[in-house]
Amino acid sequence: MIGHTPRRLRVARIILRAYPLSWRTRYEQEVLALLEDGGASAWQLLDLARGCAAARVRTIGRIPTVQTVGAILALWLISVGPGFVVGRALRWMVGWDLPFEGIGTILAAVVFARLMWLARRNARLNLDWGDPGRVFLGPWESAVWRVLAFTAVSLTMADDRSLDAFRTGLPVLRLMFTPALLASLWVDQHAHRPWFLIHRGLTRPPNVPTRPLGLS
Amino acid sequence: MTKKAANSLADLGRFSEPALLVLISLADEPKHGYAMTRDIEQMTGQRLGPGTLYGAIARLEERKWIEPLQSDDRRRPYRLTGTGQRVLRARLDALRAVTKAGQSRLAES
Repeated sequence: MIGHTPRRLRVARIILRAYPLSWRTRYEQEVLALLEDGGASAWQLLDLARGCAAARVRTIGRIPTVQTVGAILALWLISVGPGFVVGRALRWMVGWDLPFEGIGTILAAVVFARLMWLARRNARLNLDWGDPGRVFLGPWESAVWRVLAFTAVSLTMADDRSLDAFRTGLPVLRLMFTPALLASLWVDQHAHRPWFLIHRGLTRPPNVPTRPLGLS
Repeated sequence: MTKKAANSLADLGRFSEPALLVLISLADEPKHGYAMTRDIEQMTGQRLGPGTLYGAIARLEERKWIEPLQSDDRRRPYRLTGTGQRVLRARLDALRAVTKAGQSRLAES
């Protein structure tokens, strides 16, 4: 044993208890043996805790219900964007004050249908947490989506009526578009940053067993 | 297969680099976790933490690029599978091409 203290090993055991059960069944004793052999420094305990968070997120992301709800949410976020942008742009540029809900509904329905078709074709209705745009949109569509989302946010911020809308109280659904766009833009922009916990590397690729070998 | 295999390793996200190091470590002979960390530390000067190491091992095992060997000891050894060898070879080829391009550009400048 090299430089470990029993107290740190106890902490390691506590952290290991927070790992998913299937992971513990398979790897817990190996990790403890590793720490006993090589020592358990504070940095290693931190790394163990970080691995625990990743394993937990990974497990949660594999629950079919969570995947389905997540996929629907991602589709909704992606679908409402174009409708919102077009409605805003028309009113701002040419003064058409068409009811946003009408345009938004039609466009969202078209985009939604397209996305569902793509999702079914790719047989990938498991949500890519960090980057839903790349699961349901092709590369050029994803690029267009970024521009649209950015434009929408800019227009919304530049429009005083949006602030009035918040003050006077428009229907909740309408007010949800801005945070939805901001959220999806944020998710898309941060998808490949290393510190972004929920990213595509943690999701299960198609046709890969969900449990490690050796588990019944 | 080559390009696809090389990219599939990159699909492991933040675990792609530790996974590559684990594959390289197992390329010559089977090793258990501690032996892998020692080997990787000697190779790169970088010590993988237990969470990172076993995060990578779990992902590699799921993809059947490595497999555990039977052991009564808690220190279970792993070995590279045939698929793992192909993935590692493809990744190293890709890295070699990148290194070559980088070095030639540096030489030109």
